[in-house]
Parts: sequence; C-alpha cells; structure tokens
Amino acid sequence: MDVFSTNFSTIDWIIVMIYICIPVVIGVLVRKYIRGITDFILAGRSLRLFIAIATLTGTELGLVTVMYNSELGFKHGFSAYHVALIESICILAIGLTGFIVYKLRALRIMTIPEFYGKRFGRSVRIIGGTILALGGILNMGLFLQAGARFMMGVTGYGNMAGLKLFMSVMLIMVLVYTVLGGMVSVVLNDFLQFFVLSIGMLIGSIFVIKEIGWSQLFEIPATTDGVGWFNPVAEGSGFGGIYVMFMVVLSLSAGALWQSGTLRALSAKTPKTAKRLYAWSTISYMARRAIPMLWGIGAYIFISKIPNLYAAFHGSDPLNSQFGMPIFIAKVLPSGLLGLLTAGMLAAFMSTHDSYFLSWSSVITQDIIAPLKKNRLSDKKRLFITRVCIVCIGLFLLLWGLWFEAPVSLWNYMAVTGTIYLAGAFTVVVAGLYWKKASKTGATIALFAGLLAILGIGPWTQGDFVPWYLTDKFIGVMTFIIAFLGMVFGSLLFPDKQKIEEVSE
Amino acid sequence: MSWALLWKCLLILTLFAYSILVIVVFIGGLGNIRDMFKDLRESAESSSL
Repeated sequence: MDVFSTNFSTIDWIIVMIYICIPVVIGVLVRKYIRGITDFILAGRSLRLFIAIATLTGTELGLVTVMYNSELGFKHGFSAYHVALIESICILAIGLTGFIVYKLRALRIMTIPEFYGKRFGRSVRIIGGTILALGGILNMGLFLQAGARFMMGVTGYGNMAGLKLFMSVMLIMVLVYTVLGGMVSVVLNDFLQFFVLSIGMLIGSIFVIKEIGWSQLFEIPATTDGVGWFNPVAEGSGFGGIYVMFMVVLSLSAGALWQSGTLRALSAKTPKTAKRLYAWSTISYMARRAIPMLWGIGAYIFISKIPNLYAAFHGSDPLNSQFGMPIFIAKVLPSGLLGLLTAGMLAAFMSTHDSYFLSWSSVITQDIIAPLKKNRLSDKKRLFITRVCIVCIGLFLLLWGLWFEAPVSLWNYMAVTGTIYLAGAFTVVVAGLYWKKASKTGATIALFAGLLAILGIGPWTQGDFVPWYLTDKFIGVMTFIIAFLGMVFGSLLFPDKQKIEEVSE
Repeated sequence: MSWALLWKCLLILTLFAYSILVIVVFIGGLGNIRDMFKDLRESAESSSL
C-alpha cells in the first residue's frame, strides 16, 4: 500500500473550498455590530451558556489540538489518555468551585494582565502582558506546520511548499474576518465549527473503531513494549511520574487562565454563567483529547500491520509521527465524509487562530500599549491598534511557521511555550485573589520565573540519553515550583508599602 | 481496576456524553445567538441616542 494513497477526491476539494469561505462572509456581515472595544473583544459581554460552550470548544478544539493529541496516541497508545483524564478533572473542579474564573468575571476585566494591574499595579500589568503575549504567540508557532502536515497526509499532495502556501492563504482569510468582525464574528464561526467538526469527529470515530475492531483496539500491538501502552507511569510509556505531575499543574493553570479560553468566561453574561460554562465544558475538553487520541491509536495499530507503512515511520529516514493520523483516516474514511471532516478541521484551524489573534492582540493593546501611554487611549484608537496587532501577529506566524522546526514533539512544544506564561500567571492570579500578603515584588519575580520554561525547548532536551534534570517535563514542573516560591518569598521579604487596590466581587 | 478497563470506560463515556452535548448545545446555542444579537442591537441603539 502506498504511504500517501488517499480517498480524498475532487468532491472533497469542492466541499473544503466552499466551507472555508463561510467565515469571511460572516465577518463582513457582523461588522455593523462592532461599536467599541468591548464589543470587539468580548462581544459586549453578552454570551449565554450554550453559545459560550460552543465557542469555548471551538477555540480549544483546533486542528493543532487534533494533531498533537493524535500524535500522543500514535506514539504512546492508551497511556496518553491520562492527559485527557487529568484535564477533564481539572476543568470539572474549576466548574464546580468557580476557582479563579468566577472572581475574574465578577471583576469585569477584559484580560488577565488587567487583573495584575488592579491588584499589583501598572508595571506588573505591563510585564505580565508582555510575557503573556510572548508565550502565547510562540505557542502558535507550529500551527501552520501541523496544518500543512495534516493536509499533506489527508490529500496525498506531496509538495510541502505548496501546502504551506495554501495554509498561508487560509491564515490571511482568518485575519480578514477577525479584523472585521472581532469577537461577534469569532463566536458565530466557532458555533458553526463546533457543530460541523463534532459531527465529523463522532462519525469518524465510528469508522476508526469499525476498521480496527473494538476488541483489537484494546490489545497491545506486537510492535510495542507491553505495559507502557496502557500505564502512563510505567517505564517505556514515554511519560512517567514527573510528566503526570507536570500535566496536573499545566491542566489546572491552563484550564483557568489560558487567555483564549478565559476570554470566554470573561465574555459570559454573568459570573455564574462563567462557572457553569466550565462545568459543562468538562465533556468537550475530554472529547478534544480522547477522540483524536483514539484516531492516533487506530493509526498506529493500522500501520503496524502493514510492513511498508510501518517501515515508513520506523525506517532510517522516518516520517514525522504527526503524519500517522492523517495518513490513516485518508485510507479509512470514504470520499465525501473525508471532505467534510477536512473542512471541519480547516475550520477548526481557523477558529483557533481567530481566537488566539484576538486574545494576544487585545493583551498587547490593553496591557502593554495603553498603560504605557500617558493620555488615555480612546476606544476608537484601541480598536485600531488591536486590528494592527492582529495583522502583525499573522505576519510573524507566517515567517516563524515556515522556518522554525521544534526539537520536541508538538504537544511538548505547546506545553513548554504555554508554561512561559502559565507558571507565572497561575501563581500571580491565585495569590492575588486568595492571599492578602501577595506583593508586587513577589508577583514580578513569579512572572519572570515563567521565562525559565524556554529552557524546555532547547537542543539539550533531545536525544536518547537526556538526564532527567534536562528533560522538558522536569524543566516545566520546576518552572511552576520556582514561580510559586518566588511569589511566596518575594511577598514575605518585600511586602507592599501601600495597598494598591482591593479586589472585590 | 486495570488501566485498559479504565481507558475503555473513559472512551465510551466520552463518545456518549459528547454526542448528547452536541445536540443540547446546538439547540440551546441557536436561541443564545438570537439573544446575543438582541443585546448588541439594543446596546448599539442606546449608544447612538
């Protein structure tokens, strides 16, 4: 069997082309509803429960999410499911208790660094905003490559340069409708994409299970070493205890504070809606992990039975493991469904980008540029700057996405770049909301400590015999611990002389 | 309980719960979109007064 043989045909291309034009049309149509910065960034704080669930899922279930989770399933088998379980428990805990999100929504802020400003002052807001934008934009760095690999695997089109060009055109389309319609446009597109992608994923899963067989799905493939296929803490699983610990702190912090997700909570109609949004989203957070991982596992079992496919991934010049899932579904799903699923995936690619563009550009405008200006920026100017930032981030991604090759797996790259912001933000927000003694110095130390996470994507994390203290997972856990200790000791040794502002609900 | 059984239960639960969620969110979401536009229209009208 040819590695890149596919069921993708002309009809699938037509479905894809028609579908990806819809978001731009929506962006143009809703432009008239955008009157100010609050409408643009938070859709006028008018999101009710179900649309908020759809848009949160639309943001957090992107093409890149499907790619990194299927890669985890492909490489590690069912042991990767611990990530899904941990994340779901963390989201449920946030939803049931309202941990962080309830208080943040009650404060009526637009961004996380705005909270830093209210609690710790202007300089902390600017530092926090800069680190958030840095971590967030770097986090998007591999989206284009992952998208191009998906398209290459599914369509069988082998010219990587041509695919990158195709993905770049899509990125430009996202820029157009986000710049025009802001959050209102993003919400409507997320809703449409939530529905199409979810249906595609559920039907796709039925095909995957049918192809592999339910009982065979839970048998350990002969080409793997046994126990690690199911047990995430077993030797040979590729994870281990430190990794599981890293996932716990990362899932809890990202669940509550990843700007694009938190933006939905902040856009919710009431604090109670924000809380309920998380409780309900437990299911979609579980699905965004478990279903792509299932496809990755199915892909591994499928290729392990076909010698030339297996050799393509394990030979002297192996294919990137991200290709596993798309190559598999290209052979298993029938034409038509494949086109619909691909359209859904590309729509997901767009929906993640639009939200991320909006998140990081609003942070740059609200938390870096506006506080640096002596005179108050008008709403009109803020709107203009936000739109310019969206275009600049898009241009940066085109360059970074085309030239940068990460030394670690896609998920680990995402986890590490996310930690740059999350380690500091989690400590600062939790301490700011729940600890009266938290000080400006402690917050500053914690935020800078997050930068240590960059060490987790260095070349020293690669190779077969990396010492445990140089692994990306150990560096990730230590970054959280150092940020926490920095906050505690910084606050106790250097308390604030004046109270900046009380946090009230 | 074995790891395999745990992941099997998690997969079944996910597929079942997500199917229900998609239906509920789709029906509820349509109503929410109508309300969102009502809010935005009212806010636009009051700001232009």
